[in-house]
Amino acid sequence: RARSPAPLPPAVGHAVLAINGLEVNGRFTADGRDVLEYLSSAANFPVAIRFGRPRLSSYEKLMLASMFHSLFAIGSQLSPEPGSSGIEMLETDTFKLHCYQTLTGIKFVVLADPRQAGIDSLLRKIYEIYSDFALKNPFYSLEMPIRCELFDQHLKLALEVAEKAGPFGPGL
Amino acid sequence: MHTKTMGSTSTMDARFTRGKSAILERSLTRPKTDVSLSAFSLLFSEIVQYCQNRVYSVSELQNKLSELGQQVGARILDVLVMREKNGKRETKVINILLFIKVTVWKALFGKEADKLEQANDDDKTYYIIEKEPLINTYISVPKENSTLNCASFTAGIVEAMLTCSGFPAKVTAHWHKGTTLMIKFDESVIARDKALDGR
Repeated sequence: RARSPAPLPPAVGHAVLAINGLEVNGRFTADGRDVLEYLSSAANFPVAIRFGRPRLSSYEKLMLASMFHSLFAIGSQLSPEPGSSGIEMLETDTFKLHCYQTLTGIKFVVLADPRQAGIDSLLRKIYEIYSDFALKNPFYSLEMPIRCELFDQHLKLALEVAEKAGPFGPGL
Repeated sequence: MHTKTMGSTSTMDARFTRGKSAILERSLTRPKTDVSLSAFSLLFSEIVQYCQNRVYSVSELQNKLSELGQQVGARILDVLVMREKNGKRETKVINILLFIKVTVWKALFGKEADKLEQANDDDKTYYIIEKEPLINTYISVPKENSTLNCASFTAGIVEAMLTCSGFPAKVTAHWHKGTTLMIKFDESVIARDKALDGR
């Protein structure tokens, strides 16, 4: 879960994310109207359009997560010393991927701004929220997507706290 | 024949319990012991899942949870009456309700229940209201059966306590101002209470 970016001009690979604040999924707006049709009618102008990289579908997320899982396994096998922790952080010039593997082998992955501090504590906080609001919830089935209201609430709160800490750590 | 003198009740008790089980040797006054909330939550979560696998509808699930709660309530009533009230049972509706709101809640959840109210238009209906019941701390109910409230278990505890103290009642859990336990007393209970007042 990344922070919502500032408005960007359209670029290669970008798609329409929202029109006048209304979310767009593929070719249709959230209330089911055709995007191209909506934009071709002058009566709807002026419009504010937000562009950005299209969001990953859950299928794509699963695929990427499985790929990362393999990379993680390769990472620990390549280690000359036994008992490697695997990949804890992957750095690029636009983002950092932080991974935390629990004792039971569940991986939590956070994609964040490379300057964002305090991700380690965020990952542990997410683990805590997962063990509280997913595992202690009788209506959650293991290994399935987490659809628990309290989990979402607390995760959102933790992300807000981490975001307030800002790119240079808390206190600034 | 073996005779007993006054003041030796403890030896008399021990005569029946000695060697049967360690738990029977323990004194009734209990040191302050708290159970970990995590351990309780995980156990309760498993209880709910166990019940869920054996029912076909939300109301059946609530009934099942309530039945399990009744097992707890019937047992805890005796021990709390002995510990906190010197074995004296309440005879008035309002007193037994306050006993549940204060003493029972403190023993079970470590704090009093938030509110105890009587229905405006009905003298046999009472409500115990809790904004955030401990039992629901980690539970998010799925949207498709949003009427389900796992506090049915607590409702079962309260129902058994009232019924076993001679105040037959039906107790159900609802989502209202947080969680509300609705207590509906039997007609005879209210009639008896009024008769007692009249004396």
